[in-house]
Amino acid sequence: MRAFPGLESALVVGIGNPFRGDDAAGLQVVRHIARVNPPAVQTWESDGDVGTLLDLWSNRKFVVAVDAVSSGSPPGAVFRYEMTDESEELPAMLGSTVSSHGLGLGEAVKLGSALGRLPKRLIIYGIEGVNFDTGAPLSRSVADAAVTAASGILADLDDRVANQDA
Amino acid sequence: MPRLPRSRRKAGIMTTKTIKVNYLARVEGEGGLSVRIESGNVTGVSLNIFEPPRFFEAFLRERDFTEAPDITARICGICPIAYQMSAVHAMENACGVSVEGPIRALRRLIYCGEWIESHTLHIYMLHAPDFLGYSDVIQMAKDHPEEVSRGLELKKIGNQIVSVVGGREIHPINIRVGGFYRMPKRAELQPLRERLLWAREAATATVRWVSRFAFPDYEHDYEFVSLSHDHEYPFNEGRIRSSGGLDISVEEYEEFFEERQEPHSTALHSVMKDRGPYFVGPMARYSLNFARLSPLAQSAALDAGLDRSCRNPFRSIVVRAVETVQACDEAIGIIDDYQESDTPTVPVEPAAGRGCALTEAPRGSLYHRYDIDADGLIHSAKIVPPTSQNQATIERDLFGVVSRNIQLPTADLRYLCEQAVRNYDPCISCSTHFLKLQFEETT
Repeated sequence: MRAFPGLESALVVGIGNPFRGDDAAGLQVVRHIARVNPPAVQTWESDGDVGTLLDLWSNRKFVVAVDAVSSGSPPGAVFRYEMTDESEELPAMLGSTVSSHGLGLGEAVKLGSALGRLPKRLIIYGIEGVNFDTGAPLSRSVADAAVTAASGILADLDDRVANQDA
Repeated sequence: MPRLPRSRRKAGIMTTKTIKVNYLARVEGEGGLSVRIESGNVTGVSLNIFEPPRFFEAFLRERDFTEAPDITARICGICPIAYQMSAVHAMENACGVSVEGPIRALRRLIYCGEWIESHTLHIYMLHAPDFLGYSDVIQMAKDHPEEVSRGLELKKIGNQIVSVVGGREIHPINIRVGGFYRMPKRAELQPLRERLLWAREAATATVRWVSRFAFPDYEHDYEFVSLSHDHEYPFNEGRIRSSGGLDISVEEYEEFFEERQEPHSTALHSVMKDRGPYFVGPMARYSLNFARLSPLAQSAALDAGLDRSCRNPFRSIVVRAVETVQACDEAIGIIDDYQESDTPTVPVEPAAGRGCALTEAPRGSLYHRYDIDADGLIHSAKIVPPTSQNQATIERDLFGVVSRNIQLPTADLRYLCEQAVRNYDPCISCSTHFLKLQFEETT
């Protein structure tokens, strides 16, 4: 069992299956963030288990979750959505996060909301995938989008630090 | 659509109604279901599985016998242990090796982990919303947060057992023909024991919770089939026994059971030769092996109002909860008795011949059979998963449930049908993903 990262740092969690083509987009983003290694930020690669996600982000102040989506948008499209206390309707793209058992990131967010187990701030990134075949590599457009999403997340992390300073 | 009788059609008194549900959620896999009702009678039920064939048996050919556990584990993300266990036991059976001691105990422990994980997922996330009138667990969580939190925690303990013993939660990597790659230390298992003490209480509370649900009044005189062992609740070893008197060795399986192709399904239907449909899974195991349950699991069952056998498939949720108590109890015992060993595996030299095994996946019996040559290359493979064995029984249940409740409004009937399918926790991915439900009704 890996010990969960401490609660004080920000957490970036990437969700996906490394063996299902573009489903690994979230994992790729997290690896980009880990290479940059920003201060007071921890990264986590997850298979998307709902219970694990709730444990990971409960009682935490700042979490970014990133997953592949399949919403019919152009491949490599990057979505960003911030949960707020007023969030009632989740964006459509969360309904299309990819999970083989019908319980994915979207369900984790909704269940976390119902159980009062969401972090104080939760930002969700979705990357539109195109090829989820077993053993396939990341599509070029999705690999490019992972870099774009990582840049966006790093900017979110910088803003967090700037706001704390303010 | 059934063709209407000419005279009534002419008279204009027949109306035809077709009701479709796009897909039945909360099952693993893709398939469809159609129920045909003519003049108030059910005339046809078929579980139409359109999950594409996956060809695992074909691409196992010419692979090394040691690869079967890791290849077949990929058939299912919920029950990979079952595939690994049936594969290793079948290969050891082919090569004349039997595994005892700490390795055998550790195999039972990891199976306990998979049962806890899979049963809890089904009870709390997939099945309980049916009984409490919610569309899904998220809606249920708003009114029952304590129960849903308990389910999530319980499932996590199952995952942790699989992770500690198997190396990771999904598609574990520590299992091999002959044993394990690495044996855990006692100190690694101790934290699990502490968590399992809580889990056993939580599982017992789960039995009490689900036993208070309202269950539709439906029973059937099924032929239950399960592995049975003289001294333990069945996981990996034993004889195949049935409520109809069958008592055979696993090697005799194919003499008594056969798979048939049905046009409406990409999964093969398994039947007992000359006897037809049969029932595998928690209710079969429970009814055939009640005496082998731990005293705690037995009293949890009896206190919850179950008899020593159960023939109402809607009560399978209670039986699953009892088996979760059993798995927690057994896991604690295994950890208490665990002897560390420097020998994680016994040598298995390939021998030309046939090997088979049947082990108890959470959903029911899982049969593997392989023919290998003297170099250990696989020449043929046969895999019979639980859901394909239960398919014909699911169809028969639907027939019975709809026939008895034909007076119900269509929406209620449809809901009952979905619930009846979920009684079996069907894994359609294993048997060949979402189920489409279609009623054809002619009045």
